[in-house]
Amino acid sequence: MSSISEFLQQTVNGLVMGSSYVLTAFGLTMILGMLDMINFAHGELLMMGAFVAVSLVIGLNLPYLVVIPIAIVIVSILGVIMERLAFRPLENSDRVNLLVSSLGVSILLQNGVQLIWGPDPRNLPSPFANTQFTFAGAVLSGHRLFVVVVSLVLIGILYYVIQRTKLGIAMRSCAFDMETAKLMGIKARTIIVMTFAIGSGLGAAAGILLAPIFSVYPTMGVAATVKAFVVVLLGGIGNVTGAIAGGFTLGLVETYAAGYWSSEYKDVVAFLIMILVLLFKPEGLFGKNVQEKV
Amino acid sequence: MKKKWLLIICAILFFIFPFIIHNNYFVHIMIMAGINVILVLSLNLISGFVGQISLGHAAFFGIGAYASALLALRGVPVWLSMAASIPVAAVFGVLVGYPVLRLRGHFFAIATLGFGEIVHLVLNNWIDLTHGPMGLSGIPRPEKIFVLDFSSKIHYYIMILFFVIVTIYFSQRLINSKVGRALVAIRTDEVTATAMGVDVTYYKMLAFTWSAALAGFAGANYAHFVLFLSPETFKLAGSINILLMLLIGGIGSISGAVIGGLFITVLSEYLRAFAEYQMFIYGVLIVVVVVFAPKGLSGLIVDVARKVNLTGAKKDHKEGAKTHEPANTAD
Repeated sequence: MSSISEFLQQTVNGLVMGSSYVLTAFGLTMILGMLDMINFAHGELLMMGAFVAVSLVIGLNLPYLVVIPIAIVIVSILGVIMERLAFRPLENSDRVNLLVSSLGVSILLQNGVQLIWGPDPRNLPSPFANTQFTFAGAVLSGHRLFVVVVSLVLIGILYYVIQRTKLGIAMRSCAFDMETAKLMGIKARTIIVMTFAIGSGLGAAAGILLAPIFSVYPTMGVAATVKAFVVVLLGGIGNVTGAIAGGFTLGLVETYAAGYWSSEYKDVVAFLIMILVLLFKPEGLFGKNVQEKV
Repeated sequence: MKKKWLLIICAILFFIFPFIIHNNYFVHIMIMAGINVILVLSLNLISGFVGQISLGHAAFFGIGAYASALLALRGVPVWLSMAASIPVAAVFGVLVGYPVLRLRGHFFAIATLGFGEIVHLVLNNWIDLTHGPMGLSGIPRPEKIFVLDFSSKIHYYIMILFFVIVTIYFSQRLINSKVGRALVAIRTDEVTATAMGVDVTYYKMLAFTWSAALAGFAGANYAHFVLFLSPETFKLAGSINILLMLLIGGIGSISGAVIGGLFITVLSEYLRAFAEYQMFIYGVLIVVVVVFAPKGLSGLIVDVARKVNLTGAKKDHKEGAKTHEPANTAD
């Protein structure tokens, strides 16, 4: 394989990872901006998405393309329930209690799933598994291209909603300053619930899209949460444009590091970049954003 | 005065229990609880006293454990290797603390999380040194001193209990000292503390380094007790578990850290009886405790004690309102 085709292949793989990071990071960054809360259970929504998809595809024999929207809706509802039961009762409590609560939810979901589906990794078949494209000497799998295309469409819709619609503007203003947003007549409670629903749905989408590439197992959400934190910090807390840029940057950097250096230490590269950004540009790499609340 | 006697009675009870209840399994759990209490107290130094939530504490625990085990496996006497784990972990504390302590709040938490993951990845992949995922085995127990023979669990338990008491005493003395007051001032309001002439950077570094050193020492105790180390113990889940012990017990309070370490260790052992439901129930309990007792178990005990003791209720209530936020340190 020539070095150009290898580079092309790495780039597609990087875009696949990057787009899933963007989808996962959205919910996390908005919630962190709005509620000043680190939601450790966010990756578990991605895992739930994958498991719901597996049961629908294998259990009910539904086609993969039909399953995607159904699973997204189911996980969105789950995200709203999670907010209602574990986070809203603590809205006036110390922020650290929200973190503990989300850790509890994360443990609960991981092990609940393990009770229902068992600890063994599962596979989700994709209709594009056998399609392959050859481009400039690189062999690109159909499913990976499908992931990139669907993610880009979702990210495009998301970007439009956030930048142009009333809901998006309300979400951004809540993330910017919740109190002022309330004073301007924004129904903060509704916006928080909407954010949980949309964020959970997008996280689930990432899980469902990646499931055919990696296997599906109960603890898969932990790594997703951690990576999403890195993306959030790269992009700046509460900043959606930053999360998009940060997600793709991380995906590409990680894949190149794995391909050209060492696959064992690719995560070290990710964390080192994160720590360096925190030290030298704590507001995130991309643009202005919500500053740390005092 | 009453409280002092209560503490002494507790200490005596903890000392004599293995001689009354001849149950090796229970002694084993209590040793693990003791190690966890030291570990939680070490996290309390930085997360409780200074208010910086660390999500990478298992890394210092792991560094201490691996340092001591590797030295002992190369023939260094165990007592010496255990002692060496303290400065080794402290050096890492300085190296990590120097850049990371400049960050605040969530940024600090996530940066320490990144550090913890890096340590785990290195332990897992530096096969020449750490044997990677296969783990380190054949770690020796500490050598005999006088009548204490550490191949016996009861004797090991007594050593851990001694270390726990020393750690509690050290934490208590620290929080009531000039340093402790400086730390609490930083936790309450960093800007005001600076204005009052507190050298914030210096005190934060001090607390973080001590915290790392103590966690490393807990790690050394762990290594020579379980005699097998694998990187799995020292990843994010480990750090989270330490933090949960502290938060469920009651952050910022020494008794809270002790209660949390003891309670969660014993609880998770007890839940083993429920086999596959163990961790699920654990998760539910965490949410329930935090929703209904946001100040942790020690806060809950204080509240209940106040309600029961109706006579002093009014006066205490006023005080309680004042010291409501994070937690009371003066226990």
